[in-house]
Amino acid sequence: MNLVSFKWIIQWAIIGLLVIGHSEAAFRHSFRTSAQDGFAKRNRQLATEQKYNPNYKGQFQLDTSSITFSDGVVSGILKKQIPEKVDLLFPFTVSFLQDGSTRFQLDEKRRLEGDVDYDDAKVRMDRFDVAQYHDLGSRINVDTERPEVKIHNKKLLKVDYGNDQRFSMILHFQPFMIEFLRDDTVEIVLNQRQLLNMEHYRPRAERTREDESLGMWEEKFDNILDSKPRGPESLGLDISFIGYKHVYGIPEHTSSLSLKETNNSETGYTDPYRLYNVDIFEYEVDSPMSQYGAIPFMQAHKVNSDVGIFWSNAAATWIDIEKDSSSTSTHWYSESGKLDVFIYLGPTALDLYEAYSGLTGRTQLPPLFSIGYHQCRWNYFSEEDVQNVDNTFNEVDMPYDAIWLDIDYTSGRRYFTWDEATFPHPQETLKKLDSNGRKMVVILDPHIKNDPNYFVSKELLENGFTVKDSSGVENYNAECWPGDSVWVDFFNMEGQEWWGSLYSYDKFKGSDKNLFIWNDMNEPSVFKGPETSMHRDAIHHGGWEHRDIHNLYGHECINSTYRGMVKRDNGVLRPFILTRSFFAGTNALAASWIGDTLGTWEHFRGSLATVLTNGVAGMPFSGADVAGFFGNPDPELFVRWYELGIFYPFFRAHAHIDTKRREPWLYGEPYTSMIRNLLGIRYRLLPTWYTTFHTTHMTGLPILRPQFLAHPADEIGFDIDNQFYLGDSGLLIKPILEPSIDKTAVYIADDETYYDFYDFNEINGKGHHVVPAPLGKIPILLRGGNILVTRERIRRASELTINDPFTLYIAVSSKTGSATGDLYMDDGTSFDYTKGAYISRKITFKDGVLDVLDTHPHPQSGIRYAESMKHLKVERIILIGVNQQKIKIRKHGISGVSSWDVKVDTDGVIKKPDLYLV
Amino acid sequence: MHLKSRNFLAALFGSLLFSFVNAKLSIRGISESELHLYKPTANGQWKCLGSDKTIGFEQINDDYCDCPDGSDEPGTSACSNGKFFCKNDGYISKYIPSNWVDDTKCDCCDGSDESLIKCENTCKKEAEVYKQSLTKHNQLVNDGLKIRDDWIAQSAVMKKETKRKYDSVSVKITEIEKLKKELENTVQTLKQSPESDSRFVLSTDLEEIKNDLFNLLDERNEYNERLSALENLLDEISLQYETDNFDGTLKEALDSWEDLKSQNIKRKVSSEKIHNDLESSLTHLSRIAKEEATYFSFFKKIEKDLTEIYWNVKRSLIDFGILSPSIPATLLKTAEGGSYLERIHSDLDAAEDELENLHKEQATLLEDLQEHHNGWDNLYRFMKGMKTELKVGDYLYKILFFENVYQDSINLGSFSEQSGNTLKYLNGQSCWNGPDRSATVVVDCGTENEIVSVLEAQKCEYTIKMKSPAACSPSQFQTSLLKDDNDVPDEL
Repeated sequence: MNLVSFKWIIQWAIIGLLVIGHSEAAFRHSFRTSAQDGFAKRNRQLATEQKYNPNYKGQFQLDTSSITFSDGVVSGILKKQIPEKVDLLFPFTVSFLQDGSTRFQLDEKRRLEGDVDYDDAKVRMDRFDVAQYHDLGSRINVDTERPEVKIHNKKLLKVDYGNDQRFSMILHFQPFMIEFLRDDTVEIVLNQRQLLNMEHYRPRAERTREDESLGMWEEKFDNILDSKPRGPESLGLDISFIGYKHVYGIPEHTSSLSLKETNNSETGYTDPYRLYNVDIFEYEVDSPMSQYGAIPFMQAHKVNSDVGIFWSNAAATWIDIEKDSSSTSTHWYSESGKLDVFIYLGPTALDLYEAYSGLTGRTQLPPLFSIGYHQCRWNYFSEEDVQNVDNTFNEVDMPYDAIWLDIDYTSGRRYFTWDEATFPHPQETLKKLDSNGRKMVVILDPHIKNDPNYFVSKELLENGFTVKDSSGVENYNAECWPGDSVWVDFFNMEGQEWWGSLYSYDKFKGSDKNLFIWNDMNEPSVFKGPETSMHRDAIHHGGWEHRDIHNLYGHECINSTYRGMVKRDNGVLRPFILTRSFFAGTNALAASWIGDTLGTWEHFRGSLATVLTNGVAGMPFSGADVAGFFGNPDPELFVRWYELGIFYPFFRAHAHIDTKRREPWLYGEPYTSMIRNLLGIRYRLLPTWYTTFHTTHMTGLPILRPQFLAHPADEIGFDIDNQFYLGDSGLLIKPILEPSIDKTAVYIADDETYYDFYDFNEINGKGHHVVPAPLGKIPILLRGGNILVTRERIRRASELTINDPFTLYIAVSSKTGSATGDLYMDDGTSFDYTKGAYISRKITFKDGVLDVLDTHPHPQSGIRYAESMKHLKVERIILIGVNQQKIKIRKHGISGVSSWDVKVDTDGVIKKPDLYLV
Repeated sequence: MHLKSRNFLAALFGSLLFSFVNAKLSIRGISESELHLYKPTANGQWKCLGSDKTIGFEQINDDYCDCPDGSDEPGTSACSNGKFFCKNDGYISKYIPSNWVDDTKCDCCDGSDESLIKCENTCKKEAEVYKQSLTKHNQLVNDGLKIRDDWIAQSAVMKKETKRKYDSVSVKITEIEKLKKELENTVQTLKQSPESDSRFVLSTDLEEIKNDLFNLLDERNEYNERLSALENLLDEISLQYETDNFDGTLKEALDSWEDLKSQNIKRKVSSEKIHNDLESSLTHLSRIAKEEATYFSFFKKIEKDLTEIYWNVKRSLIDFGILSPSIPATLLKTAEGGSYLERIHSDLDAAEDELENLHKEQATLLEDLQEHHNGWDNLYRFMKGMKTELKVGDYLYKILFFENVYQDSINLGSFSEQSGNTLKYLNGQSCWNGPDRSATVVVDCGTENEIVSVLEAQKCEYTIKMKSPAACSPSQFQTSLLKDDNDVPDEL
């Protein structure tokens, strides 16, 4: 090559790089800002007017004569005040529920009654009701006993409700406003700023020029038309948290844990937080932009008090947040659907989570294997490739639980098929994996290749279970991974049933019991679609527009998969499903990950607040791709990401097809040994993880507890999102999120003694303490007063540990001299635990006595399982923070108490204490 | 009691104790050959095998790890760094890591690693499978080797042929170099001799050119005369039959003739002009050459110009139809017809060209003959360019031994190096957003060339597994590790 042409190539390479760099920044223009979303603009304008126009008045007037109270429900009618319009009536209810929460609902009378005309559009007349569709109905029980009208006069109605009538609701008539009080203190107010909005029905013929500019009747984004057959129908409401400076939740965003103000140059957020599930690869960090999942649940926290709201709506939603010196006001608006809000008054986080997750669904108790380490890559390309990776894990002595196959294992991206050349014998591969106790997880997406010779496509089209385009008749057709595709309509119950049936062993040839499922692209992702998703005027079964159900599409996909998987194994075994998209309640069915991260420090840091927020808002079985989906991280970032990764509830390594291979041994020494040690920590702590998952499953409490939950009275911790506790274990983790450092300051919120998990060095006193953090060693502290249960034997996979003995770390409190811990375990695979087949123990230590208590609420129902686990023993007890020559062990069982003394070695270790847990 | 009998008793007691110890020492997870390492000291202690730590003998296999090297727990999973011995009677003994013991997965074929579940003893079955696969394997190696030997023989023939070619090329090179030398000498001699006076040579050449040209023009004139006669004849025919009825064909011929006639007239004019030009320029040149040219280098240049002029003239003559391109031999200056010096220069050029080609050929042949193809040297001649193909998915993979690897028409790499049975093909077509493509071909013994699998483990880096007799080696024959087949000790 001559010099001239060489120069030419360099020049073009540089131009190429500039273009690529530029396209990343340009990517944000693929997604709407609130100003580009007509209904958001309209609702935000209302808020601006309220703020700057002293004569601003709310749109609604209460018909005071309409107010009634009966059987735990307040009902009434609001009238919309528009000149030359009469009879714009909006019935509302406030229902008091048995779990202590309250529900505010509002709809338009004409639409409720079907008194509307949408010309020839094949769309429903009524507004979409998430609760009804989402199967929440059975969980909503009105409390007809406790609520009681205390005051009803010309100005207001006051109802006391909840336990001991501790809670009150005051409905102010003029202006219309609802206050919620706990112990006579106002906690939450609806419509304090009079931003309540519900756009009324109007015939298309009456549209005005002004309507056009506000995007009421049709709207274009990215040159794609949204035909809006029902015209404007948005709804909005302001919700104020009185005395709360911190609000959390509403995932999924890569923002801070404590949410930021959204119209404020100081926070840098000029747009509201948005909830609209999109496939946003290489997303921006520290941004209110939408990501893959949407949970319209917000929690407010102040010293020793937690309250929250659930905005039950699945359409595009924006949330503005404003704060003053003492309180937080939020403004919620959605494009369509009913107005339906649940109000929770705590007072504790546990009360809040129990009630909220009681409504939307408790997090699944996942199969034990899924809490282990997952090895994924786009792609493991052949059976041989899979076999090599599996063997190498054994050779390098690293545990893992599941190997994952991305889209290229299929025959031409036809899901439920295998590439004949590269995966000719999937069942043999599965069997080989099983001989090491391992699983396989394969990807299956809800877009289906349009191919008449492909059985899934054929059945789907023949049965008409597809999403339709705006005509309501033709299939919605677009590009996705397989090329020309159609989408499964999960809003057709028969379609759900059918999709679920595809997972059966006879349909999904080559599958077996150790094969599990990954549903990706279920926002849904549509190549070249508006905002990479489906057209909002596409039509689903029953005449719902896609706009009505958008944020619920992924959830219903998972609902279908979950039921199909339960059926596959005859209702005996627990499914494991990974989903990218989610809504409130998806946690009961699946785990999720936070999507297409870059392998950069910035995205690495961003992952933690995102995972913490997902947990707080009810999607706790969550994690990020280790060590970033895109790019080739350097060894330092690679190891640091594993350090944090072992504390993601969902712990999976994954990498894009263009990246270099990164199985955990490929960076060589010393990194390989570091990662082996880190994996070891994850596996040693599996009993604690599993116990924590069970707690979450029972209570709705997050798995990872941010500082504000672990220390609810410590205000300093309310916006800390770079350290966290693992459940109730007392483990405090402070990950290293910056390059080139070897120590860090960990924040201690109380004056309890904390012990370094590696060498048991003591850390005492409230405040920041510097701890060492050389590469490969993530700072982990064990809080005094806790007993940690581990299994020190690291097997090839987590299920292979279930017969192994335990080790107890007893970290004695410097204040009380005592410690306590819990252990939950079951078979790790089946639903038998729902019938009592599990072991539940509380272990306490005080004054040299270790008590082991059976905390099974129905010990008799667990007896058969317990009998089968009689060999389960404690092999080692480690006393931390106390010097004793011997201790007494007291085991409390159904048949009484037995006790004996055991000797403590000089290093504080009790070997073989002869303690069997059953 | 006699001393002797006491000794006897002591010996008896000792042997009893020993067998007692032996009985106790059927320790789980240890091979018979290691049993002697697991003996207590007199006071019931035992020293860890890989460290100085001493523990109670009863702590061996008590399911608690005491020795840093894990040697106290060969039969449990208590130590993370221990190993467990599977005796596998009837099959092959082996060690597994301690953390595979009692984990509910059967890893030893005799099931000895699992006490919590019952494992089926599969040793006999596995031994059968092993024997069969061993036989099959050895058969394969045997068959592969035969083919390989055949290839080696063919390769040897080809190599011999290459050697012969190389030798003949070498001989030819010598000959031509000799010829070249002679030619150069001739040039030298000519330059020094009186006849080699450049002016003389040039003017002689020019005379020749002039004569040729005049000959040419004479000939042309002759043709013209004959043509005129023909024209007259045809005119007469035309006039004679003007008023009569003709058939179409003849009329057409006459029409054409009319056309041709008009062209001829034009041509005559221009060719005459050329004739004159030529004559004057050649005369002029001849004069210059005689009067002014003095140095050889200068003449050389003139000579070249003249040659050009000559060729241009010739081309013009052909173009104008004066000269037929099919009759150049008589009119054009060939090597034989050229001047002596020109002929020598031309011969010299030809010799140099041929030498260059021969050197190239020689280098290629030499490269083939050199021994740098690790291990496969004796196969190289036969295998070079040998093609193996396999369709994987949508792609056709094609391996050309010692040349290139292709995916459809995309070059995945050119042969770069061989190490053992692994061939590296580097610097293939470069990837968008990735490196240059490359392929590693790993060859295993087989009875024919056959691609087994293709894996693009990371972007644009291909690993291709294939079979070929070329990779067979007598060292691949395996002897059975089964005890009943061979007397193999425990240690493996």
